[in-house]
Amino acid sequence: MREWAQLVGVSALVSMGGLQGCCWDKEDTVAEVEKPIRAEWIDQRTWVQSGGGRNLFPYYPHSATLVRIHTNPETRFAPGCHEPDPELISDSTGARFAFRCVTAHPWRLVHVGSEGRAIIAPDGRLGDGEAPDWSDAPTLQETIAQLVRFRGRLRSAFEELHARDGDEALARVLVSSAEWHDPKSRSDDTPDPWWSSFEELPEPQQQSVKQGLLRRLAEDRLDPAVLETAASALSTQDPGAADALISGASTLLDGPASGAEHDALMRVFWRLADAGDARVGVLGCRAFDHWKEDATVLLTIARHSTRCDAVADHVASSACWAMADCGGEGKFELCSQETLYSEVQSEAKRVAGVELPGKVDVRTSVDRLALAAVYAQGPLPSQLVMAEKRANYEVVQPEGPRCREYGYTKVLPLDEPCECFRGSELADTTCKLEPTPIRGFHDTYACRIRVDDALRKIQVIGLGYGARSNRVATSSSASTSPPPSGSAPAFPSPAPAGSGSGTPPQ
Amino acid sequence: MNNNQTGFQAGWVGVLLLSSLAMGGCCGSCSEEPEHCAGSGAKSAGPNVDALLANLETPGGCSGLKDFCIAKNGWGKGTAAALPDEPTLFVGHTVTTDPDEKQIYLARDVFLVTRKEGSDHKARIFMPTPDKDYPSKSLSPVFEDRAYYASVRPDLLALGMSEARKAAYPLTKTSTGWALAGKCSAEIRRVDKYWVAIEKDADEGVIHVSILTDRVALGPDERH
Repeated sequence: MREWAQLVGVSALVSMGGLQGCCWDKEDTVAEVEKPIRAEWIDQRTWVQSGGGRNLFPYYPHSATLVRIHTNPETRFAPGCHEPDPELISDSTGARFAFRCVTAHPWRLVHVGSEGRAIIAPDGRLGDGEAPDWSDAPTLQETIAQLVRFRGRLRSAFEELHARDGDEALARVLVSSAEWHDPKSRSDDTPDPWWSSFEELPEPQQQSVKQGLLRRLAEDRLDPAVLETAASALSTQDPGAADALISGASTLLDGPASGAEHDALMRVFWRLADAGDARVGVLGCRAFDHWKEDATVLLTIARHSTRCDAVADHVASSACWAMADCGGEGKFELCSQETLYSEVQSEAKRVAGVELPGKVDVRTSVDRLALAAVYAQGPLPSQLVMAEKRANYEVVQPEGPRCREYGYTKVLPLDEPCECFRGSELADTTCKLEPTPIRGFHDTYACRIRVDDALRKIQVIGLGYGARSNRVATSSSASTSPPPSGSAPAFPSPAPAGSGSGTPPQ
Repeated sequence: MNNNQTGFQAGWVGVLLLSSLAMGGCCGSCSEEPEHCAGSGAKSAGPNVDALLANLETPGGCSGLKDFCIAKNGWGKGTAAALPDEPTLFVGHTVTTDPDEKQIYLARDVFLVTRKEGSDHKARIFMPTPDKDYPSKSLSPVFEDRAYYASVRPDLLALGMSEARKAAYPLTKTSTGWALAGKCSAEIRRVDKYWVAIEKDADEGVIHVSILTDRVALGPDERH
């Protein structure tokens, strides 16, 4: 009823045309503490104008819940509650107070700092009793560690800790919270408070953080995030850093390696990309067991020309991933060892010069890095050599629209011939052919082909299984009966467009 | 019965099931509703996890609720990775598979809390739903973040951390994961960057599949 009266009152004022901009504010104090510090929980309602005054109700209410602390200067924060029935209580010193949104919820601690800083602890460590349990209240340093962990507002917390306890205390907090720092969170529009605070420390305290991180790398149960943070903060110029990072990476590879380990290891490889240490290449080979087509892993193996059986085995099973083309127009040619060696060395130098943290980003393509890693294994595998040869064979295929566009097989009538290969698509196909054809042909995703190595020719004899599943059967093609097994002619002539006679044996 | 009626009734089954979950259907939280899961572990070996995981498919395949493909594709490769010693809150969402309907119910937010007491680990799984208005989708986008953080409202985060200090159900390391004792059996494994918890409800013949992360961020109100 009271709300309606307010609305009517405001509407009346509006109708008189006497209001411009924001017309009316109202604050209700719903909870407060008076001593030794004064704080209020306020329900604030503001009527703001919309639509330039042309609407029937041009003012609407905007509500906000906030806690105001009467410090100098005054501090306000939003308690982040949903339909609160709030409580506020201070400790005896006035340096801390606690609030909660609803009775029986955990109390939350607020450190009242100097210069109007209020640092809210995210953790509910004060219990959910009638009054807060101050005996277990986190210190400011512990609260900051929690804020790092839960990505809370750190700027004013770091400033307050610095003001109270100095640089060394800040350095200790950065070390103790390393497992919760996520270097990937840094971007141009999202500053990373951990990193900003580290960078703003004086040199002696920066060294103190680095020493602390080095100690943490030797912990029994190394957290991947600690390694990731250390790889970001340390440089190879720091004494003992390379050894500690290699040791930490090795520890992670001893255990089950998954996403978190991947992120940490890639950052270590990135940091050590330009280090002339053969141990790094060995680690890269171990990482290859887990992540076979990761650019950073391949760069590490290639950079150090590491002998790695896993790479050789992988090429033997599929040559495609190492098909880097350095040929000119119309000709496929694998990049030479010399060309790739030069590329790999310059890429290693580039990444070593990139400031971390930030996104780990190797720019040389995976196939070029893979081929560079394959060269390190000795003579090129026969599968790769054969695939390169076949990529340049003459192709005899029906004329028609493209079978595939943008990587997808088009939906076309079954009896409509289509063009299977154009440009590098042949290389993408021949690299994954089975060593022995079945009944004289190879069935690729889009096309069924016959390869004649003597004539250096590839004959397209019909649709592959993928293309067939995407095709629309017409009455003529649906009735096409396959010839008996093994009865396909050795080298049939190309099917005339539209005849449907190119339908391959089933 | 026409299709609309069937859909309507199926919807209510889902609502009822979710309601029961919110009251403690997750077996780790059977202390609130002990009768829900009472004795279910003793009746049989419980539902076939592998078969039910295979049903964990949406009309859009793994692109629909892709987080749950982490469970479907990764459960078998999951490990008993080390759990933190300090009280820890894991945040994620959970679905329930239905062996008959071959479908999953609406994803809901779920908390797993763990702590170490002496040499033993303790845990609890529960739904952070203090009020009916709490938006069930508030956590849904979390795993799409490249840093895989779960964003949680500040008061609920405090609640979760408070509960972590009280977690009481024994958690035992096995060769494949962590077994959570309680009125129902549950197993927790680390899968890639995430943790997956599967609770077997033998009475209903369903499993509750939860995808969780310990990378928890304060909601936007208090985020840096």
